[in-house]
Amino acid sequence: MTSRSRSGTAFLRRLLGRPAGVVALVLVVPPALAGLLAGRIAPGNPKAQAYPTFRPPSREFLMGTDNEGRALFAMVVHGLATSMVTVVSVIVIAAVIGVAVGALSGYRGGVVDGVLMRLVDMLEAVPAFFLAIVAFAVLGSDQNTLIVLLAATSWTALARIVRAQVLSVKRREFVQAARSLGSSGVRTVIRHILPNVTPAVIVVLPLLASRVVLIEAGLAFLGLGDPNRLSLGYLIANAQPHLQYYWWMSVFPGLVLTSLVLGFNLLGDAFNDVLDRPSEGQAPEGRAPARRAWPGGAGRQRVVAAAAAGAAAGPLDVAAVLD
Amino acid sequence: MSPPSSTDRVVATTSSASRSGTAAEPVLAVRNLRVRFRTARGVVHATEGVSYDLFGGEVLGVVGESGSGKTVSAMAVLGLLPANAEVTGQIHFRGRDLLGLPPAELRAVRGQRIAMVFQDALAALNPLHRVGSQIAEAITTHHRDVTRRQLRDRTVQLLGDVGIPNPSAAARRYPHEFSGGMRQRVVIAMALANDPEVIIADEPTTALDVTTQAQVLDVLERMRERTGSAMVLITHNLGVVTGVADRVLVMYAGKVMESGGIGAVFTKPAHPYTIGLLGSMPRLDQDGGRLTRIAGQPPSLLDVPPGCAFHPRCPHAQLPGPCATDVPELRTASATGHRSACHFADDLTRVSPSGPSLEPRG
Repeated sequence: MTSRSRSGTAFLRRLLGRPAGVVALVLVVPPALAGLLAGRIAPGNPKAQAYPTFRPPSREFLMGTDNEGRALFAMVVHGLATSMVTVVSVIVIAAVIGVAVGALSGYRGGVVDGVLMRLVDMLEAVPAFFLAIVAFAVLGSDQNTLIVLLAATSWTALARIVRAQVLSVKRREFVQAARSLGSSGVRTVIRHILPNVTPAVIVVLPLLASRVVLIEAGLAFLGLGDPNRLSLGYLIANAQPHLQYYWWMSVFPGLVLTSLVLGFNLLGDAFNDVLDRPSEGQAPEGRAPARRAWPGGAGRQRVVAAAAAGAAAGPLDVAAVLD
Repeated sequence: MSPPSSTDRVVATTSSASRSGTAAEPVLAVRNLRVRFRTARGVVHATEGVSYDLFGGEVLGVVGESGSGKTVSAMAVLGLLPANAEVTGQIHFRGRDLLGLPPAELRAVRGQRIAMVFQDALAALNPLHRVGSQIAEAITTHHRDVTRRQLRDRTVQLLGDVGIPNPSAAARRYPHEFSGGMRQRVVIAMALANDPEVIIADEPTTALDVTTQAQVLDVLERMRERTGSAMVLITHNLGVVTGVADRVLVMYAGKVMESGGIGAVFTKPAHPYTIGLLGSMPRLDQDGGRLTRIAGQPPSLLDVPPGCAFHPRCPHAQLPGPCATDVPELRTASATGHRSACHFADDLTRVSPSGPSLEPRG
């Protein structure tokens, strides 16, 4: 277990060793924590119309109050809670299904692969946002429905990535060596192939998270969110008629949403850099490549040039996979 | 060496019971092994009717150029060929034909009774797992009831046995933290973790520095002697074979060209291909002029020449004649007493009775 925690801190250290990583964490961690601890930070009913209307931000009302006399800060925090619950649930479900299907498809190949990948193709053709609108029209708006729908449409991208990685990892000699030592197929996949696939999965998850946050907020913006839950999208929509006079009503929910989405995207980039070369025999504790470190003095030009080169030929161009 | 610890016995019991077969009965008997790959460009005839016996405790050298079917025939024994391979023939191991074995039973044989040492140790080790845990895995795959402590002791003992300094610290390191020679020792330790009856070593020293080659070979040989395993040593390095093997199998284009005791084959080669191989090997014990070479290239296995596969490159080929039309059978050449697949084996041994050197060319 010590090994795991040690490589965990090494990972964090390398993440903090590059600007994108720091910025990403600064953008993601506060709103994420606020959302997860919403009940503690803003106890009570956030929708209670307990205050005067249209109060600008002050010491008493950190983000002001809205047209119905509700404290925006509490509502934003609870909106973040909705975002986080959706993100975490969707990611867990999508990761489990995506990794399982991708591993099975890549490892077994043949007919199994063909059938599963055609299924993936079919699901990829369904636009998640519009599917959600239709489903809500039929089933009514509900948080759980949304989670299931998003998970059902999100695992496909993961399955494709995992499959591609499994295809390449399974050809490597240590997999054959494991087989030669009598390892079964399942054991080989779990112990030897999947650990070598993990970096690719980890890189995609933040990008998936940012997409989920946007879809959830987008649906709520259109008035299709779960009416029992607050959402950043709902707050932004609600603020629209008052945009001209009461700026705080739009600005705070908007800033928080932007910060979360931007942060998740940057986090994906930073993960990509940190986990750049997962399978060249580099140990988890290995040194981060110098070129991605903080630019300082004479190193700056080299960093810029290297970054341009990296952008031209990124080994894991996952952003392209996730539409 | 220290007396075997309790772990040693726990791990070793299963295989030691069936270890000592009678001398007459081969541990591994391969008969008429034929491996073909269906590819987009046609059928690759990787091996064509390879047969050999491996007796308990002996080392069989398998020699040939790249693409002569050495590795494929070894992989076939373990059932590790890709799905597009068609394998026919028989591979008898302890009275069972491995080719017909259900997957679960074949897995029980792999690693426990027949183990493989791979060529490229860096590639054969998983970069993400510590060396010790990879060796431990080789044991737990077959022995589920071993305690953690026994496992650690056995792992450290194996690492020490293969000559890795400070084995308990080494067990906690990752493969990339070792040098090439040390990594190959780890791979050997993995293969020998369950005291297999047969070791298949696929070019175990090819990826190494010349200076470490001898050390690693020495470790392999020492470990093999201790466990009493038989070994198939695949190599294209004749020097390696000479030092270690008891018998040798010379392969070319998926066929066995010559086989016999190491001394007999190398001093009285009865096949032009073997003669060519020996002639192209630098030797310190003979004051020779230029090294000879074998003209031309090995044939594509998509399109193996008719008759004797070696005839287009053979300096002794009688053309037109049987060389280009009839496939020579592997039969005992009267003059040498070992087997050769050359139509003119008897004539050859008369041509060069004393040594392996052909007339130097150029």
